[in-house]
Amino acid sequence: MKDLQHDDLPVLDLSGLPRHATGLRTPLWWGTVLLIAIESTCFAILFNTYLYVRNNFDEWPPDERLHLLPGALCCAALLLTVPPTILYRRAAHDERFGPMRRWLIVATALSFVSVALRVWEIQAIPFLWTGSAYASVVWTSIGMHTLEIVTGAVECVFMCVILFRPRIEMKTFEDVESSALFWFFSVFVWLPFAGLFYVEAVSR
Amino acid sequence: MNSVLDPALPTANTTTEPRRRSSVYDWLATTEHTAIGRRFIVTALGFFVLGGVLALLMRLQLARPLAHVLGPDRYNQLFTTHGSTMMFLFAVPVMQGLGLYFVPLMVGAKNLAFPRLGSFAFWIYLFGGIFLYVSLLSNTGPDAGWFSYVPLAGPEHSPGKRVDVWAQLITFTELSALSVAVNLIVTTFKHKAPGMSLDRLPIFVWASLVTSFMVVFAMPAVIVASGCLALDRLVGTHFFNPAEGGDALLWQHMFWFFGHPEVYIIFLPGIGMVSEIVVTASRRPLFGYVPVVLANVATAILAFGLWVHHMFATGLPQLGASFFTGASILIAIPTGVQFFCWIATLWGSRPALRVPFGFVLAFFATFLIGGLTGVMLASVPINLQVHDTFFVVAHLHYVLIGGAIFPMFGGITHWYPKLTGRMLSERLGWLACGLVFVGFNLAFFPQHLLGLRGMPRRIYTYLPETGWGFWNLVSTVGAFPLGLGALVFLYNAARSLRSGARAEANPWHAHSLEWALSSPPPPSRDCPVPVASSRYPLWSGELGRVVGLGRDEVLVTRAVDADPDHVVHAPEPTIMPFFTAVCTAVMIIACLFTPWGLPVGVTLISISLFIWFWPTDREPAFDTNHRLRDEANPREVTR
Repeated sequence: MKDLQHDDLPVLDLSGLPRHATGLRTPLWWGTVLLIAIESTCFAILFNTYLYVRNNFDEWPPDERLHLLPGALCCAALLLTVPPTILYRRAAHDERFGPMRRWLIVATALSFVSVALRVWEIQAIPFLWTGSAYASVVWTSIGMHTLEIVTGAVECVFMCVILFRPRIEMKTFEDVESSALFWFFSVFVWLPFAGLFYVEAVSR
Repeated sequence: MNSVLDPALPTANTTTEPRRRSSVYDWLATTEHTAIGRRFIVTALGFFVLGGVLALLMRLQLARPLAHVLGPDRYNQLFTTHGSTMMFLFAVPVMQGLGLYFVPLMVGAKNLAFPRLGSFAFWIYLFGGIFLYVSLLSNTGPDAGWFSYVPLAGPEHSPGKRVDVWAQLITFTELSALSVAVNLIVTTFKHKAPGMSLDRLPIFVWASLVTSFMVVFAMPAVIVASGCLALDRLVGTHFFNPAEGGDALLWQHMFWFFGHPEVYIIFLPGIGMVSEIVVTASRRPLFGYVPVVLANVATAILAFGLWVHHMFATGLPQLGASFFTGASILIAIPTGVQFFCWIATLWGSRPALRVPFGFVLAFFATFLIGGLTGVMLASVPINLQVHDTFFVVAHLHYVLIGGAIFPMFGGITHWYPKLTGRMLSERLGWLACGLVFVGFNLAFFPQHLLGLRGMPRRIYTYLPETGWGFWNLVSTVGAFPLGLGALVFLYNAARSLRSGARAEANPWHAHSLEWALSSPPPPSRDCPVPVASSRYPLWSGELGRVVGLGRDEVLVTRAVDADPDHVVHAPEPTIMPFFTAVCTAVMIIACLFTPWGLPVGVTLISISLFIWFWPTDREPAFDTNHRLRDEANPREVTR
């Protein structure tokens, strides 16, 4: 083994490196993707639980039919948040402050509309979680996803508040971008569930 | 302390010192990976001792037929708490603790990717462990087994709070494990030293990386399962209630989808340590670096495809059983590849016979036996014969103690100089190694024979006519030298903190980057960032050092080739992870008693997260008006 002394060590000068980045270059992006992987696995297991307990019933769904309108409207509202989210994510990625703040505000407002419609959707569920295993899975899935979108909406508010401070840190761009990534997940993870719950309920 | 990378060397862009606060505040707020890792290791070893005491009490009860050391109710609580402790409070956290301490040092990072998250992970883990033992001492310890099978664990057959305590323990520990896993993955991918490309990572780092990915995909299963169990018990859902369309087997699928990978989550870091010790002891590069890495990855992938071998006795379709038998036998191949690579590395070398290598030799013998009985259990006819007997108890202890605890003892002995700046006593180390090895085999080998003679698991006593008394007595006699060996090891560690010989930077003449730093390493702000140009940088001498990085700055590199990418400001230490963990603990425990625990807890957690993430105004910033004016020219304003 060569016994190196520190004076002998060659050096690599990194003083010229940028002090900021966005997108998959940043650790936060990787952390967010891993968080999405964890939550996706949770939702996938719930999805499979629905399919698993279905085998135990002769008639499916066993309880009263879900009402299509509130569920469909909530889904539509969630999908409506996607275009402004794409726009503010792109602006954050390109470090354009103005459009980023504008579209984030629009997306935040729409996310609250979807939360409000979700409350209506929950109120319109015609059975309690205690009715059957089917009811338990439906309530738990909707509950978990509601927690997801409420968290996302509150995070958007937090970002908006930060963007109105007089001093904006450079890392805000990556924070906003990662927030958009998480919101995309929150919207798209619901589509298979909505399809399963409502299409089955309607086609019975 | 002759480190290759001297932290006293000047670095550029040194920023202002943070405000001084009280030492208690500093202690609670620290985000140093070395402090967090050390806390994980020490706390996990504390729970190891508690779990060991419970095991000794159980062995005393089983030493002879119709003994009265413990009653059935207390026995149920003890075996459940013992299993839960060893799996959730000891084995996973101690391996993750070693990862938290050593992965950043081994890849040349100054700190973790998310140091505050690391701090949160420790506190939530600690609170979970305290919660379990306070429950046990107040006669509310979980009593339905560490796997909490329904319907036994359901609301009808287990009224009261005992199973709820188990379900909430899962929430505590899995939150912690997931936080650490995310941290280790991102640290490995994005904070490697320049030149530390993926094909140069030390095997322990690879093992830690692969394990962390397994945690990410396995732990959600048990979180959802324990959540559904808690909902069944607390608010009347019917996930596992067959009367309302639920399914008891659903629990087993969810649990073992987590539970089987959990075995590999526990011992993959252990065999990563074995690779490090073998390389260091033989003083030659690992034979078959790439096959060993691929074996780790293959083990992780296969581990998700064989959970059903825990359920052979539930009446599966034959085709399904055959598939899972095949997968279970298949997984022996990557582990076999690693064994042969270690043998090839050692072949013809003159390995240094020091204590870490002694534990590796003990690992070879015991883990091999555990692996072979694993292949036996993969076969459906044998599995059905010995299902739920002590044969399975013997097998799982040979795998877990053989695969994780011997390497862990070896790993801690190997890295103790780096952890503390002191050397462990060799004499006490060999004594501990011998006692643990002899005691372990005396305690657990007879359990194979008991299982083959039909002794079921989880019984608190048995009749003299069964003929199980002799081997149970032998097993109990063996448990004491095993426990004594563990205590000698811990005594050695405690004593050497003060009286151990001072350790040099690299007392074993090892190859990886952690040994280029002083023992113990400097605080992260003063930690120099190396440049690695080979797989064994300290042996090849191809080592450099980064300059132009401020004390509060952290280097981010590219995921695969580790080329320097950009620099970020290191997060300040803060007490908010501690407060968030307190709020989370309040929520988890309150939910046991009232549904209002959830909204109140979520509100408290939200407030603490708001404070946690509120800008510190220490990061580089830009002027908003300037930015707004120059929107049309984004490049202009990014400077």
